[in-house]
Amino acid sequence: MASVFNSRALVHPHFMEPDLIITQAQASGYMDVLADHGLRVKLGPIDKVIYANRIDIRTQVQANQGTSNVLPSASIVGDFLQTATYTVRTRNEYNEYDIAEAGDYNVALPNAYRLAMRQGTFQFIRNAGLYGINAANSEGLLNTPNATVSNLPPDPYGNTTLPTYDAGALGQWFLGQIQATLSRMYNLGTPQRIAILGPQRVIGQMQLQNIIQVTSYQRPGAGTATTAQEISTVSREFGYEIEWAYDDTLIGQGSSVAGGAAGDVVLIVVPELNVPEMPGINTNEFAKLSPNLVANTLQYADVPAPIEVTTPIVEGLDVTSTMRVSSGWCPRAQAITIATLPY
Amino acid sequence: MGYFGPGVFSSERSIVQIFIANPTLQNRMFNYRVKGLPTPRFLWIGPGQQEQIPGDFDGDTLRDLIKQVENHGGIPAGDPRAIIQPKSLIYSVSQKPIKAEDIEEGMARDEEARQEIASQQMEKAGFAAYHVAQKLTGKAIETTMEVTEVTDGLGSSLQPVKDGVDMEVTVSAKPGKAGKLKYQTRKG
Repeated sequence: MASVFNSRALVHPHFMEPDLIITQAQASGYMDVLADHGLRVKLGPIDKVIYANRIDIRTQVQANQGTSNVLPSASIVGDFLQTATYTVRTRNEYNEYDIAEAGDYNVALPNAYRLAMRQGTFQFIRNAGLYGINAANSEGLLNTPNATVSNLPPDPYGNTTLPTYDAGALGQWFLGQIQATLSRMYNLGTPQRIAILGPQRVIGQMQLQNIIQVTSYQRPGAGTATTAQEISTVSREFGYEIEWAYDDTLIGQGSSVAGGAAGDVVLIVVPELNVPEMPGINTNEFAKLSPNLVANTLQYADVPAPIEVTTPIVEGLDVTSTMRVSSGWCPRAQAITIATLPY
Repeated sequence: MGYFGPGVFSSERSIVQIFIANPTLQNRMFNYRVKGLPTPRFLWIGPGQQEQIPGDFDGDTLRDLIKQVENHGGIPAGDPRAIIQPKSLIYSVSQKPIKAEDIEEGMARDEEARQEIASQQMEKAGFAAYHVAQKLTGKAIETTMEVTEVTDGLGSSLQPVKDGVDMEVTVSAKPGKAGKLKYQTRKG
């Protein structure tokens, strides 16, 4: 990275606003779809691949009125999953003149560079989390094998795109997707956090614009609530907490619409597993075996923020920023629904 | 008429069927609506599998269903190379199922499309570093960002990226043409 702080002519007397005008980028909410809202900082600095043991069980039982001496047994099968890690590095060099010139603009150059490096690294981590680095190995949450892709059907009036879609029908469709996701995980009826990540233009419309129309029959929220309010309110009454998050890179990442651009993607994710159990006779008894990984969506890192290595060079300093991360990884694919919506 | 509109029980029924294949590694819940029915239906298609939309439809309903399939990534069978976007579908309107070769070709195209998006996103991250440097420091000249891939000891089940994922995204302003950027990537 290099910087140029040009000389300038200013009128005197003048007042210089001390604060800087810095253009904002979107702070992606993608961390909300990860378990515990963040990276799993457990890697060593040189760990190349992450492995996770998977234990499956198939138990046969015999039920006879008489007794038998030949009894079936339980089969416990061990297997493992794996995903690769990658180093992300970026660097810059500067000397005392660069620092002084930036100071004239009221910019602390070392910190400006640090933030610039982090911005690139963090955006890369977000992209690796959602889209993966190596699609051939199905990395990235959007590439999760056996996840469910679901498309928005036409509403009862034949509308197919999100801006024209019936607000109440959209809410009911989303609630149906949440139900389907929880059912696949056997988590229906258990308190659960559900993260819904989508572009601002989709989530924003559901939150602010889509007041559910009044019809000849009563619909939840008709005339008073928006689609997102309906989804949140109805879900909350059954113990599911909806978290809405935004990421505009999901624009156009859905399946392609005939003769037009691709639809937008909205991710419906259950990031943490609430192990299903019942008191007494528990047909999920084997899941009490510990340690049981309760995270459904994972992204690993070696450090919570990039390491910076500052080295003196001839007439200046070299700062390298480095961090090792994995792509987004979902060992329990049932936890993800990838909704694709024409816009 | 009740819940059933004129199209569904019309005497002009078609004997052709709609087969939909899912040339991806993910499950597909294909939601569709048959005109005249009050609620949408769905067809569950496993990875690499195909299913037939159940029912016997007249011409209008058939056309409407095809439009819905095409609205969600449907590509006619026989031309799987037309798949350029992930999460596409392959469909066929006939009495015969879709050929397995078409589905396999579609899966290969889906993988290519996914890798293309991953690469694009990586390049965007490289650009992001440049734009921030430019905004924070006034006028940055060049930024580089690199990603290093694990190449040895992957084992048999993890494969390196086709063409390599090692990447260095360099973004720089073209001398003399302020505002125009050039960038180059290094792969392999």
